[in-house]
Amino acid sequence: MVHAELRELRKEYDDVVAVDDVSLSLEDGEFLVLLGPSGCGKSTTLRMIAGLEDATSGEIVVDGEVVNDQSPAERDFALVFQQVALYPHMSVFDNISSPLRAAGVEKSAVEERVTKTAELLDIAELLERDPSELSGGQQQRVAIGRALVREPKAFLLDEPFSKLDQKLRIQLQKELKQLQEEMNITTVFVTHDQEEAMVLADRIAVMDAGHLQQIDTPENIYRKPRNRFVADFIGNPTMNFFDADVREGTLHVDDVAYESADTPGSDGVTSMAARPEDIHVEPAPPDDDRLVATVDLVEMRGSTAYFICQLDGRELTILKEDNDDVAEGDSVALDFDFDAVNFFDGTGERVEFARAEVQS
Amino acid sequence: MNLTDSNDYAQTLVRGSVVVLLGLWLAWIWLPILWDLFTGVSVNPQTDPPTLIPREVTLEHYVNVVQEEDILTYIRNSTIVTTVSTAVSVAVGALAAYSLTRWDPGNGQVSFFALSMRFLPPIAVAIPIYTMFVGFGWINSWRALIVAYLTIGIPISTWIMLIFFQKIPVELEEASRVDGWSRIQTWRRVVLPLAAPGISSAAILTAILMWNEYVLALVLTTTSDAQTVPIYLAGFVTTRGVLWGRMGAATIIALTPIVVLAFVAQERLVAGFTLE
Repeated sequence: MVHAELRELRKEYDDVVAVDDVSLSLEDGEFLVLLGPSGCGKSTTLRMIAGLEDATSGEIVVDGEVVNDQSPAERDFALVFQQVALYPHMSVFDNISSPLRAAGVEKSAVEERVTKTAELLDIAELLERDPSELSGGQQQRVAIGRALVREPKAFLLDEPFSKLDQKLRIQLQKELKQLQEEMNITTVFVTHDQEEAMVLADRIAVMDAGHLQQIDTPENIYRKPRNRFVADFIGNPTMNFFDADVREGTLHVDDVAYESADTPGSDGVTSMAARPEDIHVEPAPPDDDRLVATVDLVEMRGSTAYFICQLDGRELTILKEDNDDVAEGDSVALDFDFDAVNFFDGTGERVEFARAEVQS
Repeated sequence: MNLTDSNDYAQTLVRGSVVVLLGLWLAWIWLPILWDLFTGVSVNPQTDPPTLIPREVTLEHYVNVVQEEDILTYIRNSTIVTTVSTAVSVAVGALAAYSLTRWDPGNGQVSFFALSMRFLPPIAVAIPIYTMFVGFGWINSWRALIVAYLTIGIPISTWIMLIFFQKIPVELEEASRVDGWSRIQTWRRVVLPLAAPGISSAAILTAILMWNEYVLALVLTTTSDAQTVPIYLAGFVTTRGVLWGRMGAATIIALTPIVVLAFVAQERLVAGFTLE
């Protein structure tokens, strides 16, 4: 049973704050993803958790004990690096068995555990090979094997799949998720790929510029982003942003009144964000009193189609529904699913309306 | 001529020139050695007019050099000095290169200072070192040369090994630490094996430099107790004339260890020169 906590964890390099007082707690067996753009501090946070970097201030607490001064091995955390980091001068077997040998486990037990782990990861026939003879995916499996063979308290991964091709990445994501659920190991996974995060995570911690923006389940992060950054970063294709404000009790989107929107109270709303699937279009009769955009392009992504529209010089991405009778060049009126859209105030923070909650 | 013909002509011309140039260069290097070889075995090396291939051959020069001229003593001195000084230089250099690549002290200042010593000609510090060693009572001892040669050996072996250590990814050491190995164990198990090619390249190049060093040896040693092979060879140019035969024999004997070393380790040598 592992319960871990980060308390106001901070990392400064000279005058740059890489990690700014991040606090979060980690449940036993949870798959937590640290997500954010490059340079947001997620890797630094992971390395501090692992023990490869010293925190400038703040505490890392494992099972009630402050472990800041402990080495990575003492904390019993295993780490998988982005650059794989297999020992090139040792065989796959020696690579995987390395942590066991460091701990002084006796030879017969070592052999048994390594073989078991290798079978779990489907690399049993590669044990005598050299790392240089393996493909990228196989190498990453070996790295995962090296981490898991010791059955660590926590399993830390730093963008392990970012160097692999798409298909392999998806395959390994699936295997990793299954493995993690079977073994019930507490896992922290760093990535900049929000789709990867949505697939793998029990909870996602979104970071930007050293700050923790939001930590929640993938679904909540998708449906109720806490600020504009999270709204924009999550979701593929991206969020559509509009100016919005409430005048005399009526919501205005880009200065167009939408009386059907139910907005009792509206402290400081200045913008609205709607996902492609929360906007609906229909051919616009002249003099329509809703927002009107022009369809530039119909874009196919896999089996889904999107309208790429122009509105006042801005580009909108709207989901095409099957019965939409709209073609390129048409003018379309926009309707919004006001139960699903998000409102933000002047500082970019989420504004919640006291309206009937859609169950999430 | 059409275009292909003129191109072929140009190519032949270029290849021909390259061959000639290479030939001249090889001759420049090999002829003196050949000359030493022939002179070393000829009965009367000082013929007039001078001839290359001797009319009569003898091994007496070789015998003289070993028995009367005491070449083995000088070889002994050179071997001791070179071996010990190289070993220390490489050990210090390896640790220095490792530290410089892992932690960059003073933002590159320290590495710049350490490596710029490479350009220091030993002759510039010969007199000050001499004065110091007189004070220590070290003149004409192996100790003197071993220590003095560190001024050559440490900068150059650090410089060569710097590149090799840079090539070892830090993540490998981090992975080792995460696995549970201590820093010393990581050094032994991960860093050293991967740095081994660089270490052997540095060792060989440093050894060659030290074996051939003349100036510091000349200044710091006075008798055959400590004098090295380069001094010995220069000694055949006497006030009574040049002892060609013995010099030829002695040079060939003196060259042999280095040539053997270079041959055996040529792969490492090339790696060291090209920093691969």
